[in-house]
Amino acid sequence: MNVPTEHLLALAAILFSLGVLGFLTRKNLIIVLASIELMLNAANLTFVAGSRAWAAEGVTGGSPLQGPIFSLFVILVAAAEAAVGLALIIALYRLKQSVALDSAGELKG
Amino acid sequence: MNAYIEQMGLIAPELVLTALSLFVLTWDLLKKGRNSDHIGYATLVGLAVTGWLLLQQWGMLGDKGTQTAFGMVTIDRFGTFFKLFTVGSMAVVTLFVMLDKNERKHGIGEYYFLLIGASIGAFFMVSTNNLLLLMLGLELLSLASYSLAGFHKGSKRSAEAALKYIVFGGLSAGVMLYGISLLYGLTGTLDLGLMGHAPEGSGAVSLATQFDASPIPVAIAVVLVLAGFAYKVSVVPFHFWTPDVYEGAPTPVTTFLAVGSKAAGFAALLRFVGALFLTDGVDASIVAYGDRIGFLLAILAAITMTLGNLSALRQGSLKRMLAYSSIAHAGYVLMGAASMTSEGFAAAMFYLAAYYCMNLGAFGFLIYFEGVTGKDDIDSLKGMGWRHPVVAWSMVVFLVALTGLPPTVGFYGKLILFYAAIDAGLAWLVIIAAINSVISLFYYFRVAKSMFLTEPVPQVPMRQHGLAGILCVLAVVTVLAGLGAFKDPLRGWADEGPASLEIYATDAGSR
Amino acid sequence: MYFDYLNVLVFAGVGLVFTFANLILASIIRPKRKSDVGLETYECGEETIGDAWIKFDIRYYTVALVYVIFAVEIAFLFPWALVLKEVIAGTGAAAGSGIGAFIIVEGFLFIAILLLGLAYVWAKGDLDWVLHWDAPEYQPPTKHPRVTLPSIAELEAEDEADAEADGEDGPDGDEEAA
Repeated sequence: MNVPTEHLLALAAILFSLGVLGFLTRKNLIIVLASIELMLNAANLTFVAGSRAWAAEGVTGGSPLQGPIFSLFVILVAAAEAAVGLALIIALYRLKQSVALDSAGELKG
Repeated sequence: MNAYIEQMGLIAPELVLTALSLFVLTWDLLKKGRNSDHIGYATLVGLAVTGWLLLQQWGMLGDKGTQTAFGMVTIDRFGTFFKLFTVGSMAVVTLFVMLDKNERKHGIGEYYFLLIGASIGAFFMVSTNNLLLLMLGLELLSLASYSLAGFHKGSKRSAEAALKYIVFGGLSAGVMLYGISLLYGLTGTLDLGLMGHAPEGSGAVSLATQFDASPIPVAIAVVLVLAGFAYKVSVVPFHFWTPDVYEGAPTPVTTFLAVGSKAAGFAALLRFVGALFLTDGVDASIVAYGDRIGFLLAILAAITMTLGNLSALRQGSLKRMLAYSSIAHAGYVLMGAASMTSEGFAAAMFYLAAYYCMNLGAFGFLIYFEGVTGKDDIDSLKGMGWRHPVVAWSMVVFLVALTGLPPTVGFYGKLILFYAAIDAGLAWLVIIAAINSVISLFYYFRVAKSMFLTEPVPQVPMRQHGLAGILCVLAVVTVLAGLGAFKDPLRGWADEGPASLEIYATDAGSR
Repeated sequence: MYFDYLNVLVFAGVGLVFTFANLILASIIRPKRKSDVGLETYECGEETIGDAWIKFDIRYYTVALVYVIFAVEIAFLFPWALVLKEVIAGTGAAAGSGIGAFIIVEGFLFIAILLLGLAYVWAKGDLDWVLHWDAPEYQPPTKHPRVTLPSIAELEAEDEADAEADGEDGPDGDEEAA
């Protein structure tokens, strides 16, 4: 099975756009965090697709593993961000009893 | 094996900071929330050791830096300049935390741990040519900052500030990572040097080649990455979080965000832009593209400073006003980057050094003032000038410097920036910046007026000698640097940074 | 080219078919007896109490957060182990560089820092599932009051009322025991 790189890139672009769309339209903070994860996964897909394409052409700037290793680190970043984000959501929930983005309206001006 | 151990010496300052962070964390656990001032002193000692190591490193480095194995960490004077900057701001912020009257004295060891963690992130962020390490450093800095912004768990404003910070920060991280992945897909490498100038047989395609072949994907990728940096330094389309986070976070944290975090963001931005598009570079085909990126940055700079200054005009809270003022200053610094010359980069670095003195001072005054009144609105400032003359006069010095008026370092920094921008053909930007300086005079003067020209409001006098002392020192430095005492060495340091930036394309290619 | 996606299609198709085929099959062969008892959730012999849509304890989230971090960090040990194996075997890119000891020390340093994190969580009491008697009680949110569960006495009274209404032919032996 050989999926062409263009398709992977297109899928990644769609995922990224869905992430941005979800970020802009949803009010629930947990969904907003999930949208961010979607964007990070789009980056992962692009990294892996790019790595495969360059390896197929025999062009490897430094090491062919750069792409996959980067996506491993992106997963770490995503997990750490989700952990901190959820912890902060819990902290806000304890104060406000809500996970809606609109409930954060203390600071304005 | 010996080679690896030797290379550990290159990242000795980072290793010291890491050890310090683990030590602080363990000690805090063992102390079980007793007086945290000792931990603050330990942090200061560790920072002093780090600073000393950095100075040693500065002396050992020539005009050209070195790289560790696989080109992951780049040690050069540009990075060391910003590391010294980070250590300096960290030290002052640590003192602020210890002297803050509104902060608990017990069980806040994590405060120092998170601050040290943020500076480790900043260290790696400013000293790498590799986008992987740059991203990891940026994330470490950001994650520590998110937690710091929400450090007062019981306060609604603090929790909300942290939440806004992480939501927008997550968005920018996603956008930037997607941009980096596109850059990787286009060039086949994560090394900025190779992206800028890929020699024959290096196994990568330079961005210039790709740009000639298909400009739109390159433009999208670069703009996405720049958006991530723009968020970090709060340049206008990505500045929404700044006022809210600065206002809600504990004031010492705000200080760190406004000074340390912002400088690290600018360092990474300058390195990114410098490696790919610096017009002093050798690759002629990228010059035209670099000019276009420079023009984009110039427009952003103009919008940023104007919007920041205009919004600052109508703020009632001193903290929020300083937040908008820091957005405006990001616009000024961006002028240096927009000029796309080594001269402009040096000017941006010098201005950041000037900004260090005056903004730390202004936020230090805010902490003092909050310690006295417990409020942060400008109206409560009434009569501060008569009750706390030393601190108030220091604040006047900082305000003059922030406006950019003569006897201070702020004036000199702006002068260099303007020269660099005019040399780069951005005279219109200089005119906008000059008009902005005049606008900023109004709101900075409002603070001074409130302190000196109005009747004092009755308040409980509260002695904070330590904080007052720091403010005095900063004010004296601000004036002396403006009068020329440190001007030349500081300028020399700033000039050597971009010179050492001349990228490692050949080094990277030979690997 | 699009033929390459047949795998994806087959994969998705098998998944859908497997799910729905089982459901349909079960609906065909299972006995259909309509009674209220049949609609109850069966929980190992215990009768269900209350609603499943209650708020879970906040401690689940804390443990989940800690778990996520450690689970992801472990992912880095796999590449590390592979490189270490190559170096020891003397094959691969790192062969002959003599960095075996360096890698081992590095890996264990990484694990040691992780362990410090675990010790931190432990010392801060986030691993204590059962709170100490002295621990401050979790304050239920005021806006949405916690679902109040019926007390056992109330439930028993209800059951007895039900049993009386149903008459003598109670559906199971539980009520007789009660």
